[in-house]
Amino acid sequence: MTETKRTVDIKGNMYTLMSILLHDNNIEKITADLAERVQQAPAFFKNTPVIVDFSPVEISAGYDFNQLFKVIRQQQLLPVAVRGIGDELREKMQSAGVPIVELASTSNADEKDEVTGDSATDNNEEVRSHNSARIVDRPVRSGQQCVARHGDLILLSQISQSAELIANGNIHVYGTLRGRALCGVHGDTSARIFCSALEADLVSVAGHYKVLEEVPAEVKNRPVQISLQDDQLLIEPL
Amino acid sequence: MATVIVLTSGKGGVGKTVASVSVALGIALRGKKTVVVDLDIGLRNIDLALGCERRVIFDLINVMQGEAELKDALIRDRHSDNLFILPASQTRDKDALSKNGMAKLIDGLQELEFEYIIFDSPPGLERGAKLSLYFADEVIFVANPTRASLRGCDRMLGVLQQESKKLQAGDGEVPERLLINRYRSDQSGNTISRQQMVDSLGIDLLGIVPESQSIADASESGTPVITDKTDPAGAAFDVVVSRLLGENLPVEAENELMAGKGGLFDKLLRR
Ligand SMILES: Nc1ncnc2c1ncn2[C@@H]1O[C@H](COP(=O)(O)OP(=O)(O)OP(=O)(O)O)[C@@H](O)[C@H]1O
Ligand SMILES: [Mg+2]
Repeated sequence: MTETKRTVDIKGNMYTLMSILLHDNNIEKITADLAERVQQAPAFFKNTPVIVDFSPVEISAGYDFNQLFKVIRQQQLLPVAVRGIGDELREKMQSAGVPIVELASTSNADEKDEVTGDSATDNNEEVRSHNSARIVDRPVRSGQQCVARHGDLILLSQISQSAELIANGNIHVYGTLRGRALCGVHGDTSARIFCSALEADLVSVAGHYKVLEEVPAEVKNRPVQISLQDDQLLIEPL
Repeated sequence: MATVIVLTSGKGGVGKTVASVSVALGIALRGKKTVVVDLDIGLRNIDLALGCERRVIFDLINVMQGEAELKDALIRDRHSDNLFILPASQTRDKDALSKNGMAKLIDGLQELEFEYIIFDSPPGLERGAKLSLYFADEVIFVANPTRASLRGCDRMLGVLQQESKKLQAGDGEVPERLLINRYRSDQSGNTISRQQMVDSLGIDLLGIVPESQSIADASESGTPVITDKTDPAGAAFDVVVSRLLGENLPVEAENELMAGKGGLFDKLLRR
């Protein structure tokens, strides 16, 4: 074997990072408040990487972020990046070599806490891209179950009869949906099912289900969405 | 490197054994050193299908348990010098099959320079079926045109995903193809069209073998139907072998093949 081992790999990973959310730009006040917070659990915070989040405050281009970082480091926290800054400061930070990050999802506040969710029934071929969506790129076969406990379930291949799809969020199927699809299983009545072709035996939104003995003619062999409107399941062509 | 081809099905009795012997003999008749291994422990079949039942001395389990040398257990087929048979044990418990034993068996067959190893699996989720899928380089899903048989195949496609060593290690593809057997011209009642079958499984079609009395006769006489290429089923298996060996024949190859002969098969498959 003449195979040589690569020295580097570049991979996408998801990490949970703490952030320091600033509600005021006054460095003296920040110093005092931060010290007080860290004192409550010094061991917990020690050498923890943090993101400094400026989004709630207005700061000028002349802001002394070096002083701010120093204050943060004095509390044994390690600033690794910033977010929520205007364009002017952005350039300044970039030329000073400070990394700038943005959250994947900024609209859905309560989603952020569930990044690490995983489920026991999951097969290991999932790809997690968005905060909590689960992407499956192979067919789901008869007798298999595919679960997204924390968000959307996105399926790139076909779903066989008597396979089962379960998601807390929406279900998107870029193939023919046979079998059963249950979305919004924790009660989210705004969840929907989307598919390129509907052949399912059963569909359900937030516990309101419908057994499909036959696919209605007006939606047969075309992309559809299934949603809940006034406690009624609505199947509409897209 | 030998290619391990596994024939599998969810439901039993769909034609795995019939297909295994014809495919194995077909490959051997094209000059490739081939072995067909019967994994249906306790329900030995291949020996009958190839007419060598009187020559069975040792079996697969004897080899796995070190009671016999592999080369002593292999039986040379009477239709082709390139085909060898490794019979299943008729008496032993199927728990005697192990992953380790299978790995050693495959290594041993590699050493004997086999180019193709054909595994005839037991149906469904039996140990022999799962084990063969673990080692498969390529899988033939055998189904009859019935919904129950189709669902069985679908199930096995999922099992392949979970069991396959290659797929689990992300180490290349395991081509999965559908062989429709006992296809009938009268598409009424319980049968479904080939297009529906292919669509619902979402895998490629390897071939279509018609319902044929000559298959039943061939099984009884111990001569695989592929030896008679003027027979529609024999010709169909010949197309299957070509596709397995990498020839890119169009889906309609079966129809064309028989068109000259009054289009018998063509009519059979038209629907
Ligand atoms: N195309 C065909 N036309 C007519 N009869 C067929 C055809 N294919 C198979 N048969 C018959 O069906 C029966 C079952 O075939 P076979 O033993 O090959 O199935 P199998 O899938 O190996 O079964 P098992 O799951 O029990 O191992 C046999 O009697 C065989 O002769
Ligand atoms: Mg059999």
